[in-house]
Amino acid sequence: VEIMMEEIKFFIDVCINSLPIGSVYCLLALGFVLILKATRMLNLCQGEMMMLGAYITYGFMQMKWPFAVAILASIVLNAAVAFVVEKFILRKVIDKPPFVLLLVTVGIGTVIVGLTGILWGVEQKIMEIPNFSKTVNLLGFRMTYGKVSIILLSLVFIIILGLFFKLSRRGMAMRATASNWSASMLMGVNIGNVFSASWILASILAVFPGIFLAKSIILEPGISVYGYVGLSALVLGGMDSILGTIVGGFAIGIVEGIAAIYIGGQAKHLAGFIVLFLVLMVRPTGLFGTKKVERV
Amino acid sequence: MTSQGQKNKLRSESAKSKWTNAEALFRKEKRIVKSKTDALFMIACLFIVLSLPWYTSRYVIYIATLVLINIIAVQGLNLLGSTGQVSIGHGAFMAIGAYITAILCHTYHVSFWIAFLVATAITGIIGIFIAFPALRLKEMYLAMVTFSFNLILYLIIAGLKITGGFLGLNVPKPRIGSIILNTEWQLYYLTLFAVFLFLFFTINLSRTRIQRAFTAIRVREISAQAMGISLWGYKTLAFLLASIYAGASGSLLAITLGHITPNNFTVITSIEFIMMLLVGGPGSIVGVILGTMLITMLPFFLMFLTQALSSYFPILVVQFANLKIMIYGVILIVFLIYFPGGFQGILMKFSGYFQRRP
Repeated sequence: VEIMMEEIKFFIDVCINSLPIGSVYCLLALGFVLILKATRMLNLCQGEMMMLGAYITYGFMQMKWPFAVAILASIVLNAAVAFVVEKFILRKVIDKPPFVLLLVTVGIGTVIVGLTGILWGVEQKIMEIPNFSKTVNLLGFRMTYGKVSIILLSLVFIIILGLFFKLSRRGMAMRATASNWSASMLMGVNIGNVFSASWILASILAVFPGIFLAKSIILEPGISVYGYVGLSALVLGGMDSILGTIVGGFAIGIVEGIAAIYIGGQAKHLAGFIVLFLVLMVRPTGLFGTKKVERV
Repeated sequence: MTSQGQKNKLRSESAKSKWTNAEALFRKEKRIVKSKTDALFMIACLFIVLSLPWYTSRYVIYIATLVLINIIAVQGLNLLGSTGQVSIGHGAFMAIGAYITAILCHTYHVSFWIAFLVATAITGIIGIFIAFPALRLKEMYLAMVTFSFNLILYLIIAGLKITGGFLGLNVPKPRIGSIILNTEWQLYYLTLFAVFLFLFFTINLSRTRIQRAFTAIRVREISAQAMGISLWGYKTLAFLLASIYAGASGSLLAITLGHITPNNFTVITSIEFIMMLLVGGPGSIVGVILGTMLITMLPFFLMFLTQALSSYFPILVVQFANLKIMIYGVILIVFLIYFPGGFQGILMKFSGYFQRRP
């Protein structure tokens, strides 16, 4: 019994330790859901937006700006990039089949990768963030400030967005756009603004996981791969559910943590994609997604 | 009474003549060589392709071989696309073909010809397995399945010991009897032979019931099903054919490169295949060949351009990789937004200016 208790405690430790990365996936999946609901496109450049946000923050930090100001500046810049991309590229193809939209976002992602490579180089960078690795005691678990803040951020964002969609007028306009474009247009919703807003929100959501990953792992163009893991969190939670992103994100994080501890090696990176593959094979709507009915 | 009979007879005759007319048109449409200009064009192409090694350098022949290999793979993707299914994981199938060939030739010392057949067959079987989710999933979801398959396979190949991890494997050159095919032009002719076989198959397929069923499925699945086309059968067949093409091209790529690493088959490779398809014009065999030529030669052309301009703009050399990625992205976006028909569409538009009005 003693050994089993130890095992269980260890397992809980693993789960708790994989919460921060889970919240990263959670935020990424939230960005996917926002864009998917409003514009019906799968945005495969979310990971690249995340990387861009991290690089912009890094650039401002190099210029000796304080951390908070650097984050704000990178939020503004990232939102501007998202606005321009949506307004001048994706708006032109918004009525094309989903696959075309998906490929356009892939193209935008490669352009962003090239751009960051030109501006900051492709070699690995180390970010210095004050107070990031200071530890605190939370209910008996030791955690760094950075991890606590990313978990809190993800929860706060989900609650705010949930309330925003439920209560506010603009949130209602966004929900209306998600369910039917032409009807919401007839009801006086400016759906162009809704598209822009969803992209800007998604790009802002992408900044925080980017900074967290850049600090806790490394800053390089390769971190955009985490966007694809966020994709598997999205699919596990259901493609159009905000509640689903919480469950999906944390579940993927925990699965990765377990795979890393109990199997090891490449299994950590494989786990997320295998979950994506299996969920699509077995239950494409995910845990909380709505099922679509196709008519002739 | 008689007038009625005559009328009936006349009607049946006119119907018959209409029918024969339509049949003649259909026969003409079914022909591979439709006119004399077509025949001349084909002969010219054949002559250029066959005589290429006589007057070009080894480097050019190597690039041409890569183009030919990609042509096989992209024709497979084109077949899959003609059923309306999309795959962002075509590079993964190519990787399977290449690695099976490499493992068989390098580790087990099997002859290349057997390894080629085995690799193609196994890739086909794996393609059938990937086809199972495709029967339920569409567009975005299918794209994600194939995409995740590519990501998974990349990590598996990089992690396994038998594939040599990130260091990759050496692939011995094939041999016929005692002759080792190790020069560029020998491999070029070998690949060219394979391309002819596959193109012959593709062109013939485009005249059969199978291709028409594919098109019907693409246009509207439910009406295709109502006409008695088995969705299950034909979608699986499309995946089988596409993965066979990819496996064969991967196998040829393995011997052409001589050394393969997982980085030859990343997600970017799959996206490049889709770019070849889109730039060429999906659905058309000639267009796809053109698109493949353009996209495959693009990095070599850019490299040439950079070297030519390096004395004026030294920054180009430093930023070459990044600029290349950016140019790829821009080409993808521009073709998707402004030229959805690809190169074939542009050609059609262009030739339309010179045609008389119907």
